[in-house]
Amino acid sequence: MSAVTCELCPRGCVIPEGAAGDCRVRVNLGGKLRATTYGRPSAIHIDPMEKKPLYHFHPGTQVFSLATAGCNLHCLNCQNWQLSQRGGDEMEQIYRVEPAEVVAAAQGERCRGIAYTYSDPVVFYEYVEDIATLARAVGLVNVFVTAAYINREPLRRLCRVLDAAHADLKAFDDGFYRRVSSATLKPVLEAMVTMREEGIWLEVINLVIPTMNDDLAMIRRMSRWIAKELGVDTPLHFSRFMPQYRMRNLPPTPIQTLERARNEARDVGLRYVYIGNVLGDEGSTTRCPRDGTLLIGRSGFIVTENHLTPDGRCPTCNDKIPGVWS
Amino acid sequence: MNARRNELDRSGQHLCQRRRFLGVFGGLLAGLWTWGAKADPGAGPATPRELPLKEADFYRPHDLAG
Repeated sequence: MSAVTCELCPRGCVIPEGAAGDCRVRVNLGGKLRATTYGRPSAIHIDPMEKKPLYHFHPGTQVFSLATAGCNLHCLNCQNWQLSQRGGDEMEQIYRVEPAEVVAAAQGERCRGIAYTYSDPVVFYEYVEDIATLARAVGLVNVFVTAAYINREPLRRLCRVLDAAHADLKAFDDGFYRRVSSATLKPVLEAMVTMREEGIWLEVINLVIPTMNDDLAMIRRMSRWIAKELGVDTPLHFSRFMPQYRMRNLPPTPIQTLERARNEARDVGLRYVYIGNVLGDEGSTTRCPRDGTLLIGRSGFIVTENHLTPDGRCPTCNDKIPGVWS
Repeated sequence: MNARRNELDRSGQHLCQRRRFLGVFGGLLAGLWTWGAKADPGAGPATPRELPLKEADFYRPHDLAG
């Protein structure tokens, strides 16, 4: 009987010997908790930074993106359930890649940095930290794409080697988190505030699902919270839902719903509000909040035009546009 | 005419037998080479590399209540 308590995420799984945590990949072997997917990614790709999506962070660059199996959330609408809702030994493809090899590969492919993404990188925390430490030493940036369901202490430690995070705020409703993602809201909000306090670049995404979290009053409350706690310059992305996994009974989000959500968020003062998963929409364009000058045009994940000055200013009014541009 | 045909058939038969022998012999050699390559632990991607299981951070022994 040598059970352990995992203190990485708010679940606090009590894991008996020989069993795994809720994430499926942190396993108690002989009374020691093992990160079984360390060095064993199952997804490796080179993506545009815009796919994460990060719009105010090195636009137009490529980022070496990887993930292992497992996740500490179980969202009914997961886009990557084949990866996230499996343990490491259930994957068809498991690579063996040491942290130094990831960094060398990212450099070899001329990527601007490394993104820990696809599943939730919280569950391969140690692998992220070791890669990110080496990556930073050679000038690569580290991007954490996460649902932010992580305890404060491990997050603070990780932020020392992260440069940017893309945090998924699934709804501003604890009931939604419990029903749809088997998680809770409060730790997610705390984690986002921690990221902001630690000074890493942060963008927030909200996937708008018809009838589930598309209530405009809730979106308004969420936008107010972002403006107050994270700042009005925090980019917010409203993303279009497509029927997936165990939520195929709902239709794709109407474009008008996304536009209404965007208007609500701008109305409470957020200055950079985007619409995602809609090809060619004006909602993916960055404009100067002061004079409306088109700063960065995008089509899908491609930057079609970039008029920012080299130091990240509007060419018309010379206002500094928040972000990491060079 | 028949004698000539028989001679050709026989030489063809010999040729076939020689080819068959070379084929079987070559196959055996190739098999031995492949086996040798597979048996070599440093022989590339055919041999999966094992990594030790990393110990996780942020956990503690669980105390039972009572």
